[in-house]
Amino acid sequence: MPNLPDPILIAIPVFVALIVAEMIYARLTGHARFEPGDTAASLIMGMGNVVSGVALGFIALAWFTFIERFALFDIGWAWWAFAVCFVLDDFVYYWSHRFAHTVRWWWADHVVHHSSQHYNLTTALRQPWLNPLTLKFIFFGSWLVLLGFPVAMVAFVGALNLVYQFWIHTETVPRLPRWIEYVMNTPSHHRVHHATNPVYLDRNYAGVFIVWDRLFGTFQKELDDEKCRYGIVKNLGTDNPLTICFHEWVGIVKDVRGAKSVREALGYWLGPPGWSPDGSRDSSKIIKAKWAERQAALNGAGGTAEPEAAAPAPQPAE
Amino acid sequence: MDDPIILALVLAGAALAVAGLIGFNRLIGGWSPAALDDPEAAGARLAEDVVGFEPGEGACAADGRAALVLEADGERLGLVLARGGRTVTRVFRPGEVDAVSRDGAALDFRFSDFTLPRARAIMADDAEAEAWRSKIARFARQS
Ligand SMILES: [Zn+2]
Ligand SMILES: [Zn+2]
Repeated sequence: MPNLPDPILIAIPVFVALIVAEMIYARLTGHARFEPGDTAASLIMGMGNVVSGVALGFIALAWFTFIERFALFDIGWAWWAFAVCFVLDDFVYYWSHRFAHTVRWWWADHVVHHSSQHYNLTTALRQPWLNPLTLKFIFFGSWLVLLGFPVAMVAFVGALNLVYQFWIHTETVPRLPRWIEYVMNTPSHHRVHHATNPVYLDRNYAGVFIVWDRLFGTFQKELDDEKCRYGIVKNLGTDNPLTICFHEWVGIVKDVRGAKSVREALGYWLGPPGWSPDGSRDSSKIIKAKWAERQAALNGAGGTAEPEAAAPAPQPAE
Repeated sequence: MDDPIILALVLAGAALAVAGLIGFNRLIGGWSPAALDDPEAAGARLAEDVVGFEPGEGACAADGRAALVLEADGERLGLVLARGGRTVTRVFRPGEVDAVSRDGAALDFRFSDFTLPRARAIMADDAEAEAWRSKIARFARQS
Protein backbone atom coordinates (compact mmCIF):
# COMPACT_ATOMS: atom_id res chain seq x y z
CA MET A 1 0.00 0.00 0.00
CA PRO A 2 1.47 3.38 -1.01
CA ASN A 3 1.76 6.08 1.62
CA LEU A 4 -1.08 8.38 0.60
CA PRO A 5 -1.14 12.00 1.78
CA ASP A 6 -4.33 13.54 3.20
CA PRO A 7 -5.51 15.82 0.35
CA ILE A 8 -7.67 17.91 2.68
CA LEU A 9 -4.76 18.71 5.03
CA ILE A 10 -2.60 19.77 2.10
CA ALA A 11 -5.44 21.86 0.69
CA ILE A 12 -6.22 23.85 3.86
CA PRO A 13 -3.54 26.55 3.32
CA VAL A 14 -4.69 26.91 -0.30
CA PHE A 15 -8.30 27.25 0.90
CA VAL A 16 -7.30 30.02 3.30
CA ALA A 17 -5.34 31.89 0.63
CA LEU A 18 -8.21 31.65 -1.88
CA ILE A 19 -10.75 32.88 0.69
CA VAL A 20 -8.56 35.92 1.44
CA ALA A 21 -8.24 36.57 -2.29
CA GLU A 22 -12.01 36.28 -2.81
CA MET A 23 -12.67 38.64 0.11
CA ILE A 24 -10.36 41.25 -1.40
CA TYR A 25 -11.93 40.74 -4.83
CA ALA A 26 -15.39 41.08 -3.25
CA ARG A 27 -14.40 44.34 -1.59
CA LEU A 28 -12.93 45.76 -4.79
CA THR A 29 -15.57 44.70 -7.31
CA GLY A 30 -18.77 43.87 -5.43
CA HIS A 31 -18.99 40.63 -7.45
CA ALA A 32 -19.06 38.56 -4.27
CA ARG A 33 -20.33 39.16 -0.78
CA PHE A 34 -19.02 38.23 2.64
CA GLU A 35 -20.62 39.00 5.97
CA PRO A 36 -18.55 38.42 9.12
CA GLY A 37 -21.29 36.59 11.05
CA ASP A 38 -21.98 34.26 8.14
CA THR A 39 -18.28 33.76 7.45
CA ALA A 40 -17.69 32.89 11.11
CA ALA A 41 -20.55 30.39 11.12
CA SER A 42 -19.33 28.67 7.96
CA LEU A 43 -15.73 28.43 9.13
CA ILE A 44 -16.67 27.19 12.60
CA MET A 45 -18.89 24.54 11.02
CA GLY A 46 -15.92 23.55 8.86
CA MET A 47 -13.62 23.31 11.89
CA GLY A 48 -16.20 21.25 13.76
CA ASN A 49 -16.52 18.94 10.78
CA VAL A 50 -12.79 18.19 10.86
CA VAL A 51 -12.89 17.58 14.62
CA SER A 52 -15.94 15.33 14.33
CA GLY A 53 -14.25 13.45 11.48
CA VAL A 54 -11.38 12.66 13.84
CA ALA A 55 -13.66 11.89 16.79
CA LEU A 56 -16.33 9.89 14.97
CA GLY A 57 -14.46 8.72 11.88
CA PHE A 58 -13.56 5.46 13.57
CA ILE A 59 -17.20 4.32 13.24
CA ALA A 60 -17.02 4.34 9.45
CA LEU A 61 -13.47 2.99 9.42
CA ALA A 62 -14.50 0.05 11.61
CA TRP A 63 -17.37 -0.72 9.24
CA PHE A 64 -15.20 -0.61 6.10
CA THR A 65 -12.48 -2.72 7.70
CA PHE A 66 -15.15 -5.25 8.61
CA ILE A 67 -16.72 -5.48 5.13
CA GLU A 68 -13.37 -5.45 3.30
CA ARG A 69 -13.15 -9.25 3.74
CA PHE A 70 -16.32 -9.75 1.70
CA ALA A 71 -14.91 -7.89 -1.34
CA LEU A 72 -15.62 -9.49 -4.73
CA PHE A 73 -12.22 -8.70 -6.26
CA ASP A 74 -8.78 -7.73 -5.07
CA ILE A 75 -8.27 -4.69 -7.29
CA GLY A 76 -5.03 -3.45 -5.74
CA TRP A 77 -3.11 -0.23 -6.32
CA ALA A 78 -2.64 0.09 -10.10
CA TRP A 79 -2.77 3.70 -11.40
CA TRP A 80 -5.87 2.93 -13.48
CA ALA A 81 -7.59 1.68 -10.34
CA PHE A 82 -7.28 5.21 -8.89
CA ALA A 83 -8.89 6.68 -12.00
CA VAL A 84 -11.73 4.14 -12.09
CA CYS A 85 -12.24 4.50 -8.34
CA PHE A 86 -12.42 8.30 -8.67
CA VAL A 87 -15.10 8.14 -11.36
CA LEU A 88 -17.14 5.45 -9.59
CA ASP A 89 -16.87 7.32 -6.30
CA ASP A 90 -18.24 10.42 -8.02
CA PHE A 91 -21.14 8.34 -9.34
CA VAL A 92 -21.85 7.12 -5.79
CA TYR A 93 -21.49 10.71 -4.55
CA TYR A 94 -24.22 11.82 -6.96
CA TRP A 95 -26.70 9.30 -5.52
CA SER A 96 -25.63 9.83 -1.94
CA HIS A 97 -26.10 13.58 -2.39
CA ARG A 98 -29.47 13.07 -4.11
CA PHE A 99 -30.70 10.99 -1.18
CA ALA A 100 -29.33 13.62 1.22
CA HIS A 101 -31.91 15.97 -0.31
CA THR A 102 -34.81 13.54 -0.45
CA VAL A 103 -34.66 11.68 2.88
CA ARG A 104 -35.16 13.98 5.87
CA TRP A 105 -32.92 11.88 8.16
CA TRP A 106 -30.00 12.60 5.84
CA TRP A 107 -31.18 16.10 4.98
CA ALA A 108 -31.00 16.99 8.70
CA ASP A 109 -27.25 16.49 8.30
CA HIS A 110 -26.74 17.96 4.83
CA VAL A 111 -28.96 21.02 5.41
CA VAL A 112 -26.03 22.53 7.32
CA HIS A 113 -24.15 22.95 4.04
CA HIS A 114 -27.13 24.77 2.49
CA SER A 115 -27.98 26.97 5.46
CA SER A 116 -26.06 30.07 4.37
CA GLN A 117 -27.83 32.77 2.38
CA HIS A 118 -24.44 33.74 1.02
CA TYR A 119 -22.48 31.90 -1.63
CA ASN A 120 -18.75 32.28 -1.38
CA LEU A 121 -15.74 30.05 -0.78
CA THR A 122 -16.46 29.86 2.95
CA THR A 123 -19.83 28.25 2.14
CA ALA A 124 -17.90 25.23 0.85
CA LEU A 125 -16.55 24.70 4.35
CA ARG A 126 -19.94 24.95 6.07
CA GLN A 127 -20.23 21.23 6.78
CA PRO A 128 -22.15 19.10 9.29
CA TRP A 129 -20.76 17.75 12.55
CA LEU A 130 -22.71 14.55 13.01
CA ASN A 131 -22.41 12.93 9.62
CA PRO A 132 -21.08 9.51 10.74
CA LEU A 133 -24.08 9.14 13.08
CA THR A 134 -26.51 9.15 10.15
CA LEU A 135 -24.99 5.83 8.98
CA LYS A 136 -25.08 7.10 5.40
CA PHE A 137 -21.64 5.60 4.81
CA ILE A 138 -23.10 2.11 5.17
CA PHE A 139 -25.60 2.66 2.36
CA PHE A 140 -23.35 4.58 -0.02
CA GLY A 141 -19.77 4.06 1.10
CA SER A 142 -19.81 0.27 1.03
CA TRP A 143 -20.15 -0.38 -2.71
CA LEU A 144 -16.63 0.41 -3.81
CA VAL A 145 -15.09 -1.49 -0.89
CA LEU A 146 -17.28 -4.50 -1.66
CA LEU A 147 -16.18 -4.32 -5.30
CA GLY A 148 -12.60 -4.65 -4.11
CA PHE A 149 -11.08 -1.15 -4.09
CA PRO A 150 -8.77 -0.71 -1.09
CA VAL A 151 -10.41 1.25 1.75
CA ALA A 152 -7.55 3.79 1.79
CA MET A 153 -7.98 4.37 -1.97
CA VAL A 154 -11.71 4.99 -1.58
CA ALA A 155 -11.02 7.44 1.26
CA PHE A 156 -8.32 9.15 -0.83
CA VAL A 157 -10.45 9.70 -3.95
CA GLY A 158 -13.38 10.76 -1.73
CA ALA A 159 -11.18 13.45 -0.19
CA LEU A 160 -10.02 14.56 -3.67
CA ASN A 161 -13.68 14.87 -4.65
CA LEU A 162 -14.37 17.17 -1.70
CA VAL A 163 -11.28 19.26 -2.41
CA TYR A 164 -12.49 19.73 -6.01
CA GLN A 165 -15.83 21.00 -4.77
CA PHE A 166 -14.24 23.83 -2.79
CA TRP A 167 -13.55 26.18 -5.69
CA ILE A 168 -17.03 25.93 -7.25
CA HIS A 169 -18.59 27.77 -4.29
CA THR A 170 -18.14 31.23 -5.76
CA GLU A 171 -20.04 33.95 -7.60
CA THR A 172 -16.84 35.35 -9.05
CA VAL A 173 -16.61 32.82 -11.91
CA PRO A 174 -19.45 33.45 -14.37
CA ARG A 175 -19.45 30.63 -16.90
CA LEU A 176 -16.64 28.49 -18.32
CA PRO A 177 -16.08 27.25 -21.91
CA ARG A 178 -18.91 25.04 -23.16
CA TRP A 179 -17.12 21.72 -23.04
CA ILE A 180 -16.13 22.27 -19.42
CA GLU A 181 -19.69 23.21 -18.46
CA TYR A 182 -20.86 20.12 -20.31
CA VAL A 183 -18.72 17.61 -18.44
CA MET A 184 -17.63 19.15 -15.17
CA ASN A 185 -19.45 20.51 -12.15
CA THR A 186 -18.74 24.25 -12.22
CA PRO A 187 -19.50 27.36 -10.14
CA SER A 188 -22.48 28.05 -12.42
CA HIS A 189 -23.97 24.55 -11.97
CA HIS A 190 -23.40 24.50 -8.24
CA ARG A 191 -24.89 27.98 -7.73
CA VAL A 192 -28.08 26.45 -9.09
CA HIS A 193 -27.79 23.64 -6.55
CA HIS A 194 -27.60 26.13 -3.67
CA ALA A 195 -30.49 28.27 -4.91
CA THR A 196 -34.07 28.13 -3.64
CA ASN A 197 -35.74 29.56 -6.75
CA PRO A 198 -38.37 26.88 -7.50
CA VAL A 199 -36.89 26.18 -10.94
CA TYR A 200 -33.53 25.46 -9.30
CA LEU A 201 -34.72 23.39 -6.31
CA ASP A 202 -33.35 19.84 -6.09
CA ARG A 203 -31.14 20.13 -9.14
CA ASN A 204 -27.44 19.54 -9.91
CA TYR A 205 -26.41 16.98 -7.29
CA ALA A 206 -23.05 16.39 -8.97
CA GLY A 207 -19.74 16.32 -7.15
CA VAL A 208 -17.10 16.52 -9.88
CA PHE A 209 -18.82 15.43 -13.12
CA ILE A 210 -22.12 17.11 -14.04
CA VAL A 211 -22.84 14.30 -16.52
CA TRP A 212 -24.63 12.30 -13.80
CA ASP A 213 -27.29 15.00 -13.54
CA ARG A 214 -27.65 15.11 -17.32
CA LEU A 215 -27.96 11.31 -17.35
CA PHE A 216 -30.47 10.97 -14.52
CA GLY A 217 -32.69 13.95 -15.31
CA THR A 218 -31.75 16.34 -12.51
CA PHE A 219 -29.75 18.89 -14.52
CA GLN A 220 -30.72 22.55 -14.58
CA LYS A 221 -28.73 25.23 -16.36
CA GLU A 222 -28.23 28.59 -14.62
CA LEU A 223 -30.59 31.02 -16.36
CA ASP A 224 -29.62 34.60 -17.20
CA ASP A 225 -32.98 36.01 -16.15
CA GLU A 226 -33.28 33.99 -12.94
CA LYS A 227 -30.77 35.21 -10.39
CA CYS A 228 -29.96 32.61 -7.73
CA ARG A 229 -31.38 33.20 -4.25
CA TYR A 230 -29.23 31.14 -1.90
CA GLY A 231 -30.18 29.28 1.23
CA ILE A 232 -33.00 26.95 2.16
CA VAL A 233 -36.76 27.15 1.70
CA LYS A 234 -37.21 28.43 5.27
CA ASN A 235 -34.04 30.35 6.01
CA LEU A 236 -32.68 30.12 9.53
CA GLY A 237 -32.04 33.76 10.35
CA THR A 238 -29.21 32.86 12.70
CA ASP A 239 -25.45 32.39 12.59
CA ASN A 240 -25.35 30.34 15.78
CA PRO A 241 -23.35 27.16 14.96
CA LEU A 242 -25.26 25.04 17.48
CA THR A 243 -28.61 26.05 16.01
CA ILE A 244 -27.26 25.46 12.50
CA CYS A 245 -26.01 22.03 13.54
CA PHE A 246 -29.10 20.79 15.37
CA HIS A 247 -32.16 22.61 14.00
CA GLU A 248 -33.44 19.94 11.63
CA TRP A 249 -32.83 17.15 14.17
CA VAL A 250 -34.92 19.14 16.64
CA GLY A 251 -37.60 19.46 13.97
CA ILE A 252 -37.63 15.70 13.37
CA VAL A 253 -37.92 14.91 17.09
CA LYS A 254 -40.78 17.44 17.51
CA ASP A 255 -42.67 16.06 14.52
CA VAL A 256 -42.16 12.39 15.36
CA ARG A 257 -43.31 13.06 18.93
CA GLY A 258 -46.50 14.63 17.65
CA ALA A 259 -47.16 11.91 15.06
CA LYS A 260 -50.53 10.14 15.34
CA SER A 261 -49.43 6.82 13.85
CA VAL A 262 -46.32 4.82 13.03
CA ARG A 263 -46.81 5.68 9.37
CA GLU A 264 -46.81 9.41 10.17
CA ALA A 265 -43.73 9.06 12.36
CA LEU A 266 -41.89 7.23 9.55
CA GLY A 267 -42.95 9.93 7.09
CA TYR A 268 -41.55 12.68 9.30
CA TRP A 269 -38.34 10.76 9.78
CA LEU A 270 -37.59 9.18 6.40
CA GLY A 271 -39.92 11.07 4.06
CA PRO A 272 -38.73 14.01 1.99
CA PRO A 273 -37.93 17.27 3.83
CA GLY A 274 -41.14 19.28 4.24
CA TRP A 275 -43.34 16.17 4.15
CA SER A 276 -46.49 16.30 6.25
CA PRO A 277 -49.42 13.86 6.46
CA ASP A 278 -51.92 16.34 4.97
CA GLY A 279 -49.53 18.05 2.55
CA SER A 280 -49.98 21.34 4.41
CA ARG A 281 -46.25 21.99 4.49
CA ASP A 282 -44.18 22.57 1.41
CA SER A 283 -41.79 19.92 0.21
CA SER A 284 -39.68 21.01 -2.77
CA LYS A 285 -41.82 18.78 -5.00
CA ILE A 286 -44.94 20.68 -3.92
CA ILE A 287 -43.18 24.04 -4.36
CA LYS A 288 -42.01 23.09 -7.84
CA ALA A 289 -45.50 21.88 -8.79
CA LYS A 290 -47.17 25.08 -7.50
CA TRP A 291 -44.63 27.16 -9.34
CA ALA A 292 -45.02 25.20 -12.59
CA GLU A 293 -48.79 25.63 -12.34
CA ARG A 294 -48.42 29.38 -11.93
CA GLN A 295 -45.94 29.57 -14.80
CA ALA A 296 -48.34 27.64 -17.04
CA ALA A 297 -51.19 29.97 -16.06
CA LEU A 298 -49.03 33.05 -16.70
CA ASN A 299 -47.80 31.71 -20.04
CA GLY A 300 -51.32 30.68 -20.96
CA ALA A 301 -52.53 34.21 -20.32
CA GLY A 302 -49.54 35.60 -22.20
CA GLY A 303 -50.22 33.17 -25.06
CA THR A 304 -53.69 34.48 -25.67
CA ALA A 305 -52.74 38.08 -25.10
CA GLU A 306 -49.87 38.06 -27.54
CA PRO A 307 -51.69 37.34 -30.84
CA GLU A 308 -54.33 39.88 -29.86
CA ALA A 309 -51.69 42.49 -29.33
CA ALA A 310 -49.97 41.57 -32.59
CA ALA A 311 -53.17 41.60 -34.67
CA PRO A 312 -54.67 44.92 -35.72
CA ALA A 313 -57.26 45.97 -33.16
CA PRO A 314 -60.76 45.29 -34.50
CA GLN A 315 -62.31 47.85 -32.20
CA PRO A 316 -61.15 51.13 -30.75
CA ALA A 317 -58.82 50.66 -27.80
CA GLU A 318 -60.07 51.90 -24.46
CA MET B 1 -3.51 12.33 11.65
CA ASP B 2 -2.75 9.44 14.01
CA ASP B 3 -0.11 11.36 15.94
CA PRO B 4 -1.88 13.40 18.65
CA ILE B 5 0.78 16.13 18.57
CA ILE B 6 0.41 16.65 14.82
CA LEU B 7 -3.35 16.59 15.25
CA ALA B 8 -3.21 19.25 17.97
CA LEU B 9 -0.93 21.39 15.80
CA VAL B 10 -3.25 21.07 12.80
CA LEU B 11 -6.29 22.00 14.88
CA ALA B 12 -4.53 24.96 16.52
CA GLY B 13 -3.39 26.16 13.08
CA ALA B 14 -6.89 25.79 11.67
CA ALA B 15 -8.40 27.68 14.63
CA LEU B 16 -5.89 30.47 14.11
CA ALA B 17 -6.67 30.62 10.39
CA VAL B 18 -10.41 30.73 11.11
CA ALA B 19 -9.98 33.58 13.62
CA GLY B 20 -7.74 35.40 11.15
CA LEU B 21 -10.26 35.09 8.31
CA ILE B 22 -13.14 36.32 10.47
CA GLY B 23 -11.02 39.25 11.64
CA PHE B 24 -10.02 40.07 8.07
CA ASN B 25 -13.66 39.98 6.97
CA ARG B 26 -14.59 42.41 9.77
CA LEU B 27 -11.69 44.63 8.85
CA ILE B 28 -12.37 45.01 5.15
CA GLY B 29 -16.17 44.95 5.47
CA GLY B 30 -17.75 44.94 2.03
CA TRP B 31 -21.35 44.42 3.07
CA SER B 32 -24.18 46.65 4.21
CA PRO B 33 -27.13 45.82 6.46
CA ALA B 34 -30.36 44.98 4.65
CA ALA B 35 -32.84 47.85 4.76
CA LEU B 36 -36.56 47.24 4.50
CA ASP B 37 -38.00 50.64 3.65
CA ASP B 38 -40.55 49.79 0.96
CA PRO B 39 -43.59 47.62 1.80
CA GLU B 40 -43.95 46.74 -1.88
CA ALA B 41 -40.40 45.44 -2.08
CA ALA B 42 -41.01 43.47 1.13
CA GLY B 43 -44.12 41.96 -0.46
CA ALA B 44 -42.16 41.04 -3.57
CA ARG B 45 -39.54 39.39 -1.37
CA LEU B 46 -42.27 37.27 0.27
CA ALA B 47 -43.72 36.32 -3.10
CA GLU B 48 -40.26 35.09 -4.11
CA ASP B 49 -39.94 32.88 -1.05
CA VAL B 50 -43.53 31.64 -0.89
CA VAL B 51 -44.98 30.63 -4.24
CA GLY B 52 -48.50 32.03 -4.53
CA PHE B 53 -48.22 34.70 -1.83
CA GLU B 54 -50.16 37.72 -3.12
CA PRO B 55 -48.95 40.77 -1.19
CA GLY B 56 -51.55 43.26 0.01
CA GLU B 57 -51.29 45.97 2.65
CA GLY B 58 -47.89 46.28 4.30
CA ALA B 59 -45.76 48.41 6.58
CA CYS B 60 -42.06 48.69 7.31
CA ALA B 61 -40.50 49.15 10.70
CA ALA B 62 -39.08 52.60 11.36
CA ASP B 63 -35.53 51.20 11.60
CA GLY B 64 -35.87 49.25 8.35
CA ARG B 65 -35.18 45.93 10.07
CA ALA B 66 -38.65 44.39 9.67
CA ALA B 67 -41.72 44.52 7.46
CA LEU B 68 -45.26 43.19 7.88
CA VAL B 69 -47.27 42.31 4.80
CA LEU B 70 -50.82 40.98 4.77
CA GLU B 71 -51.88 38.80 1.90
CA ALA B 72 -54.32 40.56 -0.44
CA ASP B 73 -57.19 38.30 0.64
CA GLY B 74 -56.11 38.63 4.27
CA GLU B 75 -55.54 34.90 4.56
CA ARG B 76 -51.88 34.97 5.57
CA LEU B 77 -49.50 37.30 7.35
CA GLY B 78 -46.02 37.67 5.90
CA LEU B 79 -43.05 38.83 7.92
CA VAL B 80 -39.76 39.97 6.44
CA LEU B 81 -36.87 40.35 8.86
CA ALA B 82 -33.47 41.85 8.17
CA ARG B 83 -30.70 39.64 9.48
CA GLY B 84 -27.35 41.24 8.75
CA GLY B 85 -27.18 41.88 5.03
CA ARG B 86 -29.88 39.33 4.18
CA THR B 87 -33.59 39.06 4.72
CA VAL B 88 -35.49 36.15 6.22
CA THR B 89 -39.19 35.55 5.57
CA ARG B 90 -41.96 33.76 7.43
CA VAL B 91 -45.63 33.34 6.53
CA PHE B 92 -48.42 32.54 9.03
CA ARG B 93 -52.03 31.51 8.91
CA PRO B 94 -54.39 32.60 11.71
CA GLY B 95 -53.35 31.09 15.04
CA GLU B 96 -49.85 30.12 13.89
CA VAL B 97 -47.98 32.94 15.67
CA ASP B 98 -47.49 32.10 19.35
CA ALA B 99 -48.00 35.66 20.59
CA VAL B 100 -48.02 39.29 19.46
CA SER B 101 -47.71 42.07 22.00
CA ARG B 102 -47.08 45.80 21.88
CA ASP B 103 -44.46 47.63 23.89
CA GLY B 104 -44.80 51.31 23.04
CA ALA B 105 -44.05 51.60 19.32
CA ALA B 106 -42.59 48.09 19.19
CA LEU B 107 -44.43 44.92 18.21
CA ASP B 108 -43.03 41.76 19.76
CA PHE B 109 -43.61 38.38 18.18
CA ARG B 110 -43.05 34.95 19.61
CA PHE B 111 -42.95 31.85 17.41
CA SER B 112 -42.69 28.10 17.87
CA ASP B 113 -39.65 28.18 15.64
CA PHE B 114 -36.38 26.75 16.90
CA THR B 115 -34.18 28.96 14.72
CA LEU B 116 -36.28 32.11 15.01
CA PRO B 117 -38.14 32.13 18.35
CA ARG B 118 -38.84 35.87 18.50
CA ALA B 119 -38.83 39.03 16.44
CA ARG B 120 -39.39 42.72 17.03
CA ALA B 121 -40.73 45.38 14.68
CA ILE B 122 -40.31 48.96 15.83
CA MET B 123 -43.04 50.95 14.12
CA ALA B 124 -43.11 54.73 13.54
CA ASP B 125 -45.17 55.45 16.68
CA ASP B 126 -47.48 53.92 19.28
CA ALA B 127 -50.57 54.54 17.17
CA GLU B 128 -49.23 52.68 14.11
CA ALA B 129 -48.03 49.83 16.30
CA GLU B 130 -51.46 49.55 17.93
CA ALA B 131 -53.21 49.69 14.56
CA TRP B 132 -51.10 46.81 13.27
CA ARG B 133 -51.41 44.86 16.50
CA SER B 134 -55.16 44.81 16.23
CA LYS B 135 -54.98 44.12 12.48
CA ILE B 136 -52.89 40.99 12.98
CA ALA B 137 -54.21 39.85 16.38
CA ARG B 138 -56.06 36.93 14.78
CA PHE B 139 -52.79 35.40 13.56
CA ALA B 140 -51.70 34.91 17.17
CA ARG B 141 -52.79 32.21 19.54
CA GLN B 142 -52.65 34.82 22.32
CA SER B 143 -52.19 38.57 22.17
ZN1 LIG C 1 -26.81 19.61 -1.51
ZN1 LIG D 1 -22.19 23.18 -2.08
